[in-house]
Amino acid sequence: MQFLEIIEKTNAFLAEEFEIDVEKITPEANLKDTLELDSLDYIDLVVVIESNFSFKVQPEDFVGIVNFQDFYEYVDTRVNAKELA
Amino acid sequence: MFIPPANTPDLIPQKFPFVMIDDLTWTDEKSSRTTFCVKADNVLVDDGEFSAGGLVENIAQTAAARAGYLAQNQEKPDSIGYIGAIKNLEVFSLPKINDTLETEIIIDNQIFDVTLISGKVKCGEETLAQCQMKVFIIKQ
Repeated sequence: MQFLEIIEKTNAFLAEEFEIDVEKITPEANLKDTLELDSLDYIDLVVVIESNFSFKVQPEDFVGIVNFQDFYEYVDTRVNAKELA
Repeated sequence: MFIPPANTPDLIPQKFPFVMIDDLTWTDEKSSRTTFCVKADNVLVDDGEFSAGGLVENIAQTAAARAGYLAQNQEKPDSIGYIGAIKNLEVFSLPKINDTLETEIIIDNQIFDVTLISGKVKCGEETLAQCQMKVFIIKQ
């Protein structure tokens, strides 16, 4: 899956799941603040990641993910690792 | 194989007068079901109707009964379930005194220590309420 495709797909499901304007999702925007995530919202985030990209998320995966760029790169790494396996 | 428990309320941490399930009637890998008869002296009955909060508690206690049943059958320490969040709650109708409720929960997903369930309460063929819950199961 190409990186741009990952970005587009991610932005679409995040905007839908968390009911925000897709224009607010920019690479440098803070993930937690933009999506207004509380601890329980991370569960919903994991559900949409796993259902859209078919890989298992581990709790420690979120360490170091601050903005959307970090998040895209994380998804890209996991998707490509899955495709290579 | 499902063996109906002798006393369902023993499976959950809630005690009288806050027990909103009567019997655990089914449990398998993905679902559980309970029944409950609305009594006039129930603390969540108001003006002859079982409240929306009572319906939510009924769904939550169905999930708790499932956790207690599975823990008991696996001879593991008791677990307690805490509702983390309720989502997409729809209450279509409030049951009346002497109505018998049949509640089913389905396990949608397990993410980390959180169980995502869908619950539905019916009286006969009529769906009274449904919702999704995030439940934390904590081992005591």
